[in-house]
Amino acid sequence: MSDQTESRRNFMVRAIIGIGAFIGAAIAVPLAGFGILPVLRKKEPDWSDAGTLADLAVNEPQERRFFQTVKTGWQEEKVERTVWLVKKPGGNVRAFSPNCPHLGCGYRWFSQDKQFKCPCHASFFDIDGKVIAGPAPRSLDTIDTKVEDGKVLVKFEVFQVGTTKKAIA
Amino acid sequence: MLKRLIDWLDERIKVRDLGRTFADRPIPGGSSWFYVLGASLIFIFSLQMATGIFLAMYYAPTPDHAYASVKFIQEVAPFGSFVRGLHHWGASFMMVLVALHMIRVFTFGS
Repeated sequence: MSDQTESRRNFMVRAIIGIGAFIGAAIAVPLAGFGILPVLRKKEPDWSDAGTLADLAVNEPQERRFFQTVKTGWQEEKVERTVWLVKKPGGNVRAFSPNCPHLGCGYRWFSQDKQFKCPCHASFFDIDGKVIAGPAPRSLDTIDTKVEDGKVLVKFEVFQVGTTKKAIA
Repeated sequence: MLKRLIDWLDERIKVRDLGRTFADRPIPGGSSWFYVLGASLIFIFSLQMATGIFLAMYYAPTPDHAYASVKFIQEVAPFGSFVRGLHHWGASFMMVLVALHMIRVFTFGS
């Protein structure tokens, strides 16, 4: 009889501890996820409107200014951005990041020479962004584009400078 | 495995004696379910503290951003609606438990 009471008591103790552990986990796991998961998430930037397609002529790069909505948690900020848009003969639109991959200066298109030229250290790029001359370690960084309803949309990102491989900053 | 962990803790901070003090305490007149209310209050208050701390990580107490931050917690943050819900209903439950506990203390004269 006493043996039976002992094991029943032990069972109850273990059951209570087990249920307590389950309740503890049911609370601790969501709390930990709530605190840590947002830090681990990779946020993809949204598409931004970079103007109409019709104003672009084939193989004539144009600088387009627009505002990108940057979301940090619950805060939304409008940041001014620029891209160089080039319409190719096939109908595609290419977008180049406005910063020279050498040290980040803003380069320009020179239509007489048909080259992008960077004023800081004289890096020159052709219409496809390939390095012709100068200290730039890689060709111009391309940005994803798509055309919707006659508008050019770009997924703007900032890239690292000075590296031979294109990487997001 | 679990026994080894408890043994390790017991050597250092005497958790078994601690457990015995809480669980095996003799209660004059015998134990009753009514006595559960005090410990429940401790539990629910700890829960409010924990959920409150985690909510404070995202809440913005300014007139401009309070709504946006709460919307973020409710809709975007992982488990945000759950943590906010626990905190919301925990508050109401706590008030009920406080009232019941006070009635118990008063009527039992202890």
